[in-house]
Amino acid sequence: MRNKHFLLIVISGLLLLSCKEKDEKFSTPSEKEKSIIIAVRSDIDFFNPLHSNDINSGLINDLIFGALTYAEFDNINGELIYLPYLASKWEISNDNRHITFILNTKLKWSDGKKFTAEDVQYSFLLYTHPDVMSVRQDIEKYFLKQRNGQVDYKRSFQIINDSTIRFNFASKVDNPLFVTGLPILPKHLFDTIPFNKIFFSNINFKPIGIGPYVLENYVPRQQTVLRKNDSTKFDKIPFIEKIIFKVIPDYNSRINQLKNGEIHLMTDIRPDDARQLEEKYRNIKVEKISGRDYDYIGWNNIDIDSYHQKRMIAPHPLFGSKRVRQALTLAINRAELLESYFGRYATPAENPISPIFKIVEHTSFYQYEYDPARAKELLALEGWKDTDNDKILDKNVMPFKFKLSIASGKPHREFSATMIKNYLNKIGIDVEIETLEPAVFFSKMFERKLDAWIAGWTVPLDLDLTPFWSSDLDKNPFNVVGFRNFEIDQIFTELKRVKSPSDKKTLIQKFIQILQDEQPVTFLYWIDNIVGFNKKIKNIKLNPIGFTNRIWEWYITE
Amino acid sequence: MKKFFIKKLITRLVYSILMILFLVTGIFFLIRLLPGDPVQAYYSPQLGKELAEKIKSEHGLDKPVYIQFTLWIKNILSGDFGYSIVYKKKVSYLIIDALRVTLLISLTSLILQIIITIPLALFLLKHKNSLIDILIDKLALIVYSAPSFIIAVILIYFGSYLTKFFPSSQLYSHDFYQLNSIEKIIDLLYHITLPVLTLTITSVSFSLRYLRESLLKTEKEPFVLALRANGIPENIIRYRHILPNALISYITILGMEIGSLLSKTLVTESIFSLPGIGWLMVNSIFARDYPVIIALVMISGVMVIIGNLIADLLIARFNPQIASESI
Repeated sequence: MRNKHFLLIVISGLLLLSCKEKDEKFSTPSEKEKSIIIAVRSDIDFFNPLHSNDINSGLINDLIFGALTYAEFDNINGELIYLPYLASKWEISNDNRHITFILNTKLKWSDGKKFTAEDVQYSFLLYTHPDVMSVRQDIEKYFLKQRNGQVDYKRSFQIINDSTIRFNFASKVDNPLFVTGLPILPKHLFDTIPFNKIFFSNINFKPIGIGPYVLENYVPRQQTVLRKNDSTKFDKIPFIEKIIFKVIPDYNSRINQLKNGEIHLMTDIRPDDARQLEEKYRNIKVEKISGRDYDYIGWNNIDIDSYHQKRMIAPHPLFGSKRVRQALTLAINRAELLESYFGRYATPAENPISPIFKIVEHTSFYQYEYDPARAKELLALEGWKDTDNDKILDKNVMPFKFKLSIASGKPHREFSATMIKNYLNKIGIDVEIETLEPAVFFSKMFERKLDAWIAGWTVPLDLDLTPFWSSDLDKNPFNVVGFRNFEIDQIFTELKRVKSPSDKKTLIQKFIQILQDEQPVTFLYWIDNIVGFNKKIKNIKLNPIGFTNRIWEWYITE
Repeated sequence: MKKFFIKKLITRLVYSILMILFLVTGIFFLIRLLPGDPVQAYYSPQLGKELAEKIKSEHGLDKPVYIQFTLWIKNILSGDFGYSIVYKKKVSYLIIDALRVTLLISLTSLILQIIITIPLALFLLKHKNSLIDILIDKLALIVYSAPSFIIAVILIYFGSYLTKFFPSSQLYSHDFYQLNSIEKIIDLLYHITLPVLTLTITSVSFSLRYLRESLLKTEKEPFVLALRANGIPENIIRYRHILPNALISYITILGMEIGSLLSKTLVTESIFSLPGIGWLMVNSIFARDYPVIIALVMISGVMVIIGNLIADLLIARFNPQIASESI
């Protein structure tokens, strides 16, 4: 009996103590420790930019490692600008075939070793070597090759002296700073591991870098704690001591914790929640990053059966015709759709060049305005009429009926799919919404086995759209709609050749015009990344490159 | 009797191992029939599917399925579950890490469930048909009918959002690694309170109704009447005669609960962002992380068998007469 009482007292005591802790836990750590908590949806994949393949992981790695230059997006001119980072200056040759960097050799790795040109050379050898299996391996195409086809790293990444390195490209490179802007790795740690063992090595979770932060603590699927790096003599010394990336997979938990003060910043807030935060939570500031992400309705341009059974490319029975695709775009009230769900947190999309790039002019309205009558006319011209009075268009006994597939877990796509179904029903098209598990959806999409679907792409910063729109379907799995246009192929070839911005602009305008006319997909909207953060954090400069832009300038006020 | 018991136990174990092998083989082949590519995350506009194919080959996923299966069996026999495609770590490390979390919250909840259920059921037996008995019974029915995530959301709302007593997610505070041992225990308790309560409330609602019914049924047995006729005090009848008999069916339920410990925590772990088996299972299924899925299926199978075995042993302890039948 005594034992029972003792046990009860111990349990009650511990529970009371744990409750008592709340004051300390919930007083924002920012005040006490100058730290901030950022919620992330998923855990970091690798503390190694060679293999890291996820946006948030990339941002965390950028804080630990540093690149030769610091890339930032200039919102006024709509282009990338580069600031000195691990390199103090650089010089690009007139023919854009060489770039020489003068390194900041005062810098040290966070384990105290000196930073030299050898680190840069070895890093690029790792990025380009096929055995390493880096996700950035594609940059090898820019460099000089050996007879066996592998990059000749000694000639390509030529060490002039300890503090100077020169990159020699195989041919003219459009933007040498973009190509050489990858994070630098410590040679003294990586050269002890065989190339093909790096992928599974422990080094992927024990990073040593020169960036503004170092890894202090990592608990898989729980948190990543970064501490201010004051050992590397880096001039970008942050004000904020610690940044904690807390893994919270559930969206509702994240948003509640932001409201509750358990976290200080989160991204990818849904528009409804953003409006609520703006109205009711005075301690939270909501800002948006105009982005490079757009949603579209993919119309499979090619016949699925012919493509998979006979390896033949034939027009899709419903969406193979340009006029039908134009009609479908006209039949959907995209402006209403955008306004209903996103309000001011999205902008109309008419082509795959984001409005943040000023290379082409953008309009704030849709050029294919909602016009169901015109849509019906175009469909009639293609032979789609309601001959059996069942309110569904038909042609040669075939009804205009299809499945619109979406991946589960994206509320805005579920909303859009329902609206689109209703718009198309109004002109006599029968749409069935099919919600698939993401792995199944993307697998089918990449295999070009879907008829119509809603998905999204992120436009690359170098605006290389070849993988998405080139006609060679085998070489370009990202051309999921099976769109083939040889004029566009020529434009892509020309774009690689021309140098003057005006020539480039003309070619891109031409590319856009062709897409406008062909409507291989119906572009829906550019989605802003909505970021909510505690107003105590000051000097946040959100940038399309990432929300952690210039994090060393952030500070916390009482 | 003992020899017979051990023989039965060994036969049962052999059958169980065969059953797990059958289950795992089935899952191994079935999961590969599902659409979805485990290396899809490595498709990139610049590299297309080239890198993904290389990574697939590194994991041996480019080989025919029957070869993959023989390799897997060979590795399993040497205790190697392989590497996770998603987490790039040994599957055994991942599972041990996750299992610790799941066992911590589920076993704590199981112990709490027993501590709450038995006295409460006896209390209800004593006050049968009273207002409190009816109220608790109906409340248990309502809670039992509600999905566990509803309980979790209600607890988060009151325990975290409104009162700010407890955190709504994670297993530790962000500065856990800097705390001393006592502080670590307190921090852990502080974080697992809401998830453990979620699991406990759900399971008590079920087990309480079950045990209450069993106690009431046992009370109507002729031997209880005989005891009362002999003037045995009511407390002794209740604790020494009714309870042990009624517990047999409750123990069966407990055995099933031990078996389903891993699956029960699935939703709770996701809501409270706890890095346990449930969360690992959900992520692995979505990402088609074959080595992890198969290992988890195997572990779940083992847990079910262990759970049933424990239950049978306990029943045998309480009622040796039925030992030979149950084992």
